[in-house]
Amino acid sequence: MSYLKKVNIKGNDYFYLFHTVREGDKFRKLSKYIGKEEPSKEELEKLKEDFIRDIQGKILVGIMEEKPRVNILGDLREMQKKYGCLPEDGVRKLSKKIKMPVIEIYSAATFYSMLGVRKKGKNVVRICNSPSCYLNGSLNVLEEAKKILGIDVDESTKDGKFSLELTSCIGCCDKAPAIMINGELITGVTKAKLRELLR
Amino acid sequence: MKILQKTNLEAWKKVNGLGADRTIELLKKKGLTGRGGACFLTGLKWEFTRKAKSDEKFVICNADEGEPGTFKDKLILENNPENVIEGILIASYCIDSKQAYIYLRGEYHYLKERLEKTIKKVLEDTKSEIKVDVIEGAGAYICGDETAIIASIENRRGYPHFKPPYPPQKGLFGKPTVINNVETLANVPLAIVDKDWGDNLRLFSLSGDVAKPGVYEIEIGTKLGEIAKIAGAKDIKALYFGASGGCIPYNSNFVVSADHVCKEDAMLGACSLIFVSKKRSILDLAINIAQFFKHESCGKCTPCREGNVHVLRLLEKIKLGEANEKDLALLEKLSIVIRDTALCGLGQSCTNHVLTALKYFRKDFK
Repeated sequence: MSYLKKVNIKGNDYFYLFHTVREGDKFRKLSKYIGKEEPSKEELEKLKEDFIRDIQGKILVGIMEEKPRVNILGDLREMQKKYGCLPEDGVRKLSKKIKMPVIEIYSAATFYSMLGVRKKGKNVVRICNSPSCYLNGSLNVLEEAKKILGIDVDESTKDGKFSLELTSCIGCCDKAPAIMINGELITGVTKAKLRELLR
Repeated sequence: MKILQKTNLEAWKKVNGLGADRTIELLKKKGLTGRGGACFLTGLKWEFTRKAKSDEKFVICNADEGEPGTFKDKLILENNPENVIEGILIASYCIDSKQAYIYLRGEYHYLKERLEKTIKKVLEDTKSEIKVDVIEGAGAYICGDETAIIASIENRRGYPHFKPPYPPQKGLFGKPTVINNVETLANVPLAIVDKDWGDNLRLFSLSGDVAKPGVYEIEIGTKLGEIAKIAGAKDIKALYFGASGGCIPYNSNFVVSADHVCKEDAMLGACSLIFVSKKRSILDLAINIAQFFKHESCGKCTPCREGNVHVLRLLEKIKLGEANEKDLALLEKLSIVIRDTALCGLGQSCTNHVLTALKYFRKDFK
């Protein structure tokens, strides 16, 4: 909220609008000179509106300018690989390092299917089920994987060794059906091959 | 394959002699069009960006190849990354940019190391001061959309935004930006150096019910029968143009070009052809593709986010034999509403497959 205050400087009265904004852990008081006479109620409302708009504009510009130009996806992928999820500690550290709010990092990160806050298994098995793989029997591969691991899609084994996921096309339509285990491509998957891989 | 011929920085040298304006003119004259699917003149895009006034400009190479059935960019990045990087340097030179990004899809992680090595080598050879960074995605189909790529590089959720403003006016970090597909950039040096270069030669990704799937270099305007022969496709019922392009019934005399495909209500897009044999039910495939779009809808706009859930539900209802004519009519209407009201290219094309399947293979839905 901004408020009007009469300030006495060298015996004269001046009117100012004040507004406090928070910048990280600190507070900053912003002010705007109004005039020597007290504005009417209507005028005051309008002045306050203008003042707030100015401040918001300045803050927005500030945010835009301060935005780090380092892309965080690489760091986040590393973290995901190391811990199987995005732990709060790690995200907080990253947030400090690149001066980007934690909430914004999570906001961006949770958009992507490869990043998440829920811990995944040590080995993530992704089975492609896009049309070309589907036409080449990806559902059989999926069923077999479910049977071997004893889990459904988007679940992890109890020992935390495996997670099973479906993935959109991974660009191996010429060697379908294809799967990905920890980012490594495996093409022309058969039931026997899968059993060998998931031992 | 022509696209895999290395130009060994000859184009870069030629461009440095020609200057930016004449290079852009040359590309416009050669008629190089974008290979991502929209077929916009590359030279014109560069010209817009060149003319835009700004202290900073950017080039982005779109290597987020996510369309099902498309794997041509992977082939180029595996076998001829040199040309792509040369293309990026030429683009940067033409629009006066100092920083370029390659947005590589997360699933292509194994290409990153090789790509970075090649970048280093090419930059050393050219003694160029342009910076080229590889940024990896993390699994989002929508990040193939140019405005979504920008959001993703700016550390925001990969939501697309409404155009205009187009990236050449206001792109990455609010600055003018050129975004080109891998295949387009790989073609840039060839178009500049090679006298016999023509815009009609494309990379086709052929897959599905075929004996010899793969990437082939085929002229636009080739008959479908010939393409089927190349791929070793027999007893074909339908042809899908990726997931978002929709389908057409197979006809060996059909001439494959963007205009002809468009006349059939489908979209050629990035030249990905998925052949579907006669023993398949189009309904099953429709369910598969609907699952894909339900998963990949980014959730920003309602028609696509909610609509795709209901499209899938209706298709599953039909599959269970519980649907009637009314449901079919509803499915069609819903598909049209999504197409007409969604915000981005993905949303507007995500029901193409339903509409074309209902048009040509309605029998399979009964």
